[in-house]
Amino acid sequence: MDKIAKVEFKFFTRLALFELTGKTASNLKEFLEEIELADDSIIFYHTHQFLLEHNFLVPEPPNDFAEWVINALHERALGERLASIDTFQFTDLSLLKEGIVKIIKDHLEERYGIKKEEIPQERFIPQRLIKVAKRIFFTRPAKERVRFAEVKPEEKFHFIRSTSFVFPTPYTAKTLAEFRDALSRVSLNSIYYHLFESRLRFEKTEENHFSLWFKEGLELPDLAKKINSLSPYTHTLEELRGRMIQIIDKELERKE
Amino acid sequence: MAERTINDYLPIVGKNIIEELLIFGKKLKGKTVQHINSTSVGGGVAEILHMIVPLMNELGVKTNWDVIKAGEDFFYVTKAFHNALHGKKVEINSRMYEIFLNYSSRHRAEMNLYGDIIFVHDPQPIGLIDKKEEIGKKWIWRCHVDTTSPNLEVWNFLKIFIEKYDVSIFSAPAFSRELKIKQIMIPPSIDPLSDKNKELDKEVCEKTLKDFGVDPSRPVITQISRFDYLKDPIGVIEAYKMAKRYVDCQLVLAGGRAEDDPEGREVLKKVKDAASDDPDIHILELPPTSHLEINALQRGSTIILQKSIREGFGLTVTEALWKGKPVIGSAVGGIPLQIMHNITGMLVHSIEGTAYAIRYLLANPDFAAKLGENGREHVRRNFLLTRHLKDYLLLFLYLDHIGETFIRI
Repeated sequence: MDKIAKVEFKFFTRLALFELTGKTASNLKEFLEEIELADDSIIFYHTHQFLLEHNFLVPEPPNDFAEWVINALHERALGERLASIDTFQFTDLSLLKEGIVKIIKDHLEERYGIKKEEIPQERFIPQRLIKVAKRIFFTRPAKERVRFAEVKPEEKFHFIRSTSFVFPTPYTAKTLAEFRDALSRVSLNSIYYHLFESRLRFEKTEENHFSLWFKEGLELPDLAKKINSLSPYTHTLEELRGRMIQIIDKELERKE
Repeated sequence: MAERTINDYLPIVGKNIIEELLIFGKKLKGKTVQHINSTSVGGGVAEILHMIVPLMNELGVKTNWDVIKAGEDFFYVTKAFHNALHGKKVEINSRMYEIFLNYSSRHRAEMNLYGDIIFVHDPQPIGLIDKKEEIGKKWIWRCHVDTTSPNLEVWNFLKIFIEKYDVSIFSAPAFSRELKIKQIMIPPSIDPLSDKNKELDKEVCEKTLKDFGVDPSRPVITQISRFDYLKDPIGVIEAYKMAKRYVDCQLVLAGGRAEDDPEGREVLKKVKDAASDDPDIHILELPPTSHLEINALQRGSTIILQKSIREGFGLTVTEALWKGKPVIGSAVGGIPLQIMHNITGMLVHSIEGTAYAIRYLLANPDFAAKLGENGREHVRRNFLLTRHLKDYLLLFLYLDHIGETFIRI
């Protein structure tokens, strides 16, 4: 018989509003500066939210940073590196930001001969002074100065912050069969929230909500593992739903 | 306009979207939202409010709409403000500011501000905010104008009012400027059930093309927009001529009649000269009520262009994408929000680039079809009326959580 969990699984969903921060970048220097100052919600928007919004597209675009670097700045090598970041492997947005910053600084060193250690570091300088320190650094005497390509005003990069609203849906489950049924009905936003956003932004854990419930609520650790290994970056969310339903159906068949 | 119900959108956007709207509507029960603008007819703001107000009420959010009253002198001033915000050169003198301030003060005295949330649209009623100190309430200012490069004198004058609001709304990232208050991005939207956007039979589209003298059996490239230098119709003709050396195609340039607009007349004359006697160029001057004809022209076209030099959000692009057409657009205003190059359309920066994109799409119909398919899905998710409703509902909830980035409801 289908095991009944002590605690039912409540499906939540999430929607977002986007805040225009008024911060922009016209060249690589400004881009790096603003990324270093960006909070988690800004990094989330330009990496994950962007993917969530375009997840249905074929071919799927890379993250927003890479998109701008390739199409506006025409720095193809840097764009490729930014596009290849496996955002899924990061369970903490500040680590993802560090990864992005490192790629840009490596590129500055390779392409423009600007050594990473020479760029004023946020960790050594108070946040309120970092911009000034960098401005002084990047406008060194003329013979050392690097000229960065400027994009046209209409091609500026605009930094946007994502505000998430999480709220309960009418869908709940106490058994695996009920879970499967609810999973087929909930919105893609709900699936995204439980699989990815919750652990990335709030819990900072390795396991997503579905896997945790399978493991602890239904005592199905193998199923938990399979679901936890699914990546949003190789499937559309609708495909992911289908894949999860297939895995659950197999589990249900096995138990019959 | 026939009043629609929220369930009319269910077959288009799906059950989950409607469910989410209803959940949010319930959370806002008991609040009254009062929209205020300067006209109940004509223009995009009135058009969207006519659609949104009844649907919001149906979702359980009590919503009313009031209009400020003023004389011609006030609207002359606000028209000048509007042009200045668009970046046009206009003379604004101290008398004009005085007129604006006098009317604003009269509006504050006369207007009944009963909403829990007061939602002010555009600069005309912006001065109502000076009532906030006295009556409290939550205040939203929505800018429908393209403020990419505004006249700074007018912007700074209005900014004094804007920064007294709780939040502001802009349609695209390029329109935002640094402000002391939060700025939320809410792009405009299209109504998929309106005459301009509803599904039409293929026969209707073909008949419309034939009625305008266009051959539906050959490729049709179309740009729908008023005859204005900023829409670059001459550039469109040049791009068409370059492409035509390699591929067979016809060009349709359709826009409003330009009788009352001297600049429009001048552009139209130049467009006709540029078209010279090419029988495959069709210049159509349509009355403002030609929604069905425009819909049919777009649906009957092979490729749609929007080769603007400057653009607001670019709702004609949204409409074209919604019809599943491959769209070639300039990378200006709100167009890059809608067209991701080679994914939901093609972004171009020059006449030559436009010509190349036309040739490429005509030679690669499968790729063109994929762009169209992606473009339609992009609009379904991001630029339909239901998304607009959702954003407004979220914003109303946000008013109690300003500055938070994770809100549990």
